[in-house]
Order: sequence, then C-alpha cells, then structure tokens
Amino acid sequence: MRHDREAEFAEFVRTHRPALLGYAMLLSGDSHLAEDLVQIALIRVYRKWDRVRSGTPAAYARRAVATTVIDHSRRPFVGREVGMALLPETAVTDPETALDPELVVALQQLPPRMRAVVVLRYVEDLAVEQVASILGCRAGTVKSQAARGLARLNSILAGSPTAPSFPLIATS
Amino acid sequence: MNENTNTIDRLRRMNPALGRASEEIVQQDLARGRAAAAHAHRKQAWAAGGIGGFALAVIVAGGAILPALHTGASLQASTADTPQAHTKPALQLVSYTGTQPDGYHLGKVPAGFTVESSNKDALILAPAGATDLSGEFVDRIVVSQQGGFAYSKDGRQVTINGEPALITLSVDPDPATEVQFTTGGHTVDIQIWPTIKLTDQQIIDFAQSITVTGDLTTSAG
Repeated sequence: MRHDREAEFAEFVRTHRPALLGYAMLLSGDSHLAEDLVQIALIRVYRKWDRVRSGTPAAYARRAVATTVIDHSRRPFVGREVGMALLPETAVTDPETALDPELVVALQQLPPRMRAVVVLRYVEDLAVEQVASILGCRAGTVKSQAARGLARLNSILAGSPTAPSFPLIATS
Repeated sequence: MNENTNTIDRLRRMNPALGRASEEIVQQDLARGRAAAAHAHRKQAWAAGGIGGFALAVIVAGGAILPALHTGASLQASTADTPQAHTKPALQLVSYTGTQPDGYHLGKVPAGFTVESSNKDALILAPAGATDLSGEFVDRIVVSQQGGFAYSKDGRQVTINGEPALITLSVDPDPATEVQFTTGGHTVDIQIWPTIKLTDQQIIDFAQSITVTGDLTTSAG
C-alpha cells in the first residue's frame, strides 16, 4: 500500500514538476526561489497525498505553489524587492521551453495575486472557476483581477522598450 | 480590445515547462516528503503527551525541513537552520515609554530598543541610535499584520493570548525567529533578527504586550 502511494506520488512529480516549476518561475520571477517554492509545495502535496490523490492533485499543487509565492511576497523581509531591469535566468528543464522575455518581466510588475490570476487564466488557460478554486477566491474576483491585470500588462508593455535580445538561459 | 487580444495571445503562447522531471529530482522530492511526514508524526506524538522534554529536543533538532531558500541547495534534514530555544537571555524586556507607533500599542520592548518606523506595512524596532539601513532588517524586530496564512507548520508550539502560536526560524532570505499570533482578531507576525537573543518566554511576553490599535492593511505584495 505504501509502495503504491509512493509510486503514485513519484509519477505525479515526474509528470507535473516541470510545469509547477515554470508556473512558480512566472509567479516569482526568480528561478532559484521558484525551485525552493516548488519543493515546499511538493512537501505539502506529499503530506496530503492520501486526500488529494483521488481528486485533482495538480490543482492542489498549483494552489500550494500560488499560496507559497503570495505569502512569500507578503513577508516584510522580502517586501523591499526592486523591480527587475533584466530577465533573470530561468530554471527550466527543457530547451524547448518557450517564454516571452518582455512579458515575463512585465508580469513581475503585477501584484502577486493578480499575477497568479493572469498566469493561471491565460498561460495555463484555466477556466475562471478553476482559477477561483485554486486561489480560494470568488469567480468575480478572478474576472476583475484578470481584467485589471491585462490592463496593467498592456500599459507596461506599451511603455517598455522592445523585447531584450538576450536568450533565455536553460539550465538542466 | 486589440491590445488585450494581443497580450492574451502572447500569454497563451508561453510554455513555461515541457518534459518530465529527472529521476534524481523525483527521489529528492520523495525524500523531502518522507522527512516532513516523519517530522509531523514525531510532533503529533509529542503533542499527545507522555514523551516529555527529550521528545521536544528531538523535534527541535529534526525541525529543519524547509529548504535553504534562495540558496538553490537541495533540502537536507539539518539542525543548522533549526529554531533554538534560547535559555539565557542577553536582553531584558522593559516597559515601553516612548511615543506609541501608528497602528499598535507597545507594552514592552527589549531594553535599548526604540521605534524606528511604523507604517501600514510594518512596525520596525531597532536599537536606539542604530544606523539607518534603508530597508534592511539587520538587528531589528519587524511587526506586521498578516493575511492569516501560516508560512511554516514547523516550530515550537507556545501559547500567546490564550491561543496556540508557533515560534519558527524563517530562512528566506535572511534568518529570523518568527512567530505569528492573534490579538483582538488580528493576525500579527513578528520577525526577530537572530542577533537579538530573546527566550521563548520573552518573545511571548513581548507579543502579548502588543495591541493592534489602527486600521492597518494586512501585509501584502
């Protein structure tokens, strides 16, 4: 029984970890921090595995990542971060990973919860209700945050220079 | 509308990750999960009583299950980042006699400490005459209101204002003893720079001397 449980969790990690890492990277803008946050999220998933395995563990894991990122950003010791002038290197596991450097930088200028809504709604292409479930808020909040987030992104992109020419750095 | 469509298209074209995690990474995540589960079982056993002080020592020693954040290092069970219960205070708590800060009423502070700043985000206490570090928290105590999300579940269980609270060691990005507790319906977070040596009892006394008086916003990004 324990073997099955562990095997299931291992397969979940094999399949979903790269996406969680990319999601955390978009939310945090920091590849090292993203790795740490995914580690924390997967610890939470492991501990709740008996409960979440029969449901939607991927959604649970996304929520764990989102709440960890949002809470991390609330902490006073990290509340004085400055905006990025350049895109940090991205911790990705596959050279085919496709990120839009200018958009990644713009995303980091959104408040964390708004950023999470935009990433889940448009990058992950989830329905409003799914985003609301993951973030633990009302559908109306998702809609308003998504609309405001898009408006902010448009404004940021309109005022920003053309996309930087440096390539994304893929690390194994 | 066109702007929105273009931005949505660009967002949807982003593919932040492909492929599968390597077996080494999978095994590391499994090991961290197992360590966390084992730690939780030990803590539950201790909470159930009958194990006593030795178990507390084991729990404290085994408590470092959070990643060494911002280092990129793999997570290891270690005592290095574990909150330690200070038994010999280097500081005394004294009654606070200065001007009360915005949003809070302070009853006690560590001797020699004063209010450095107070705004809707955080109340910062610093040694009198400390150099302004422009946002750094070295040698400081930071009090803020939190949105009710507990960052860590691992630490030393204490009672503050009659409610359970947890004293932890946060390690991201700087080490700090941290405690979250409730007072008057507010969730308050205190972070204490590690050079400030307070016993758990002093931390409890300090926390219990704080009252939220202002309509402050919760700390948010």
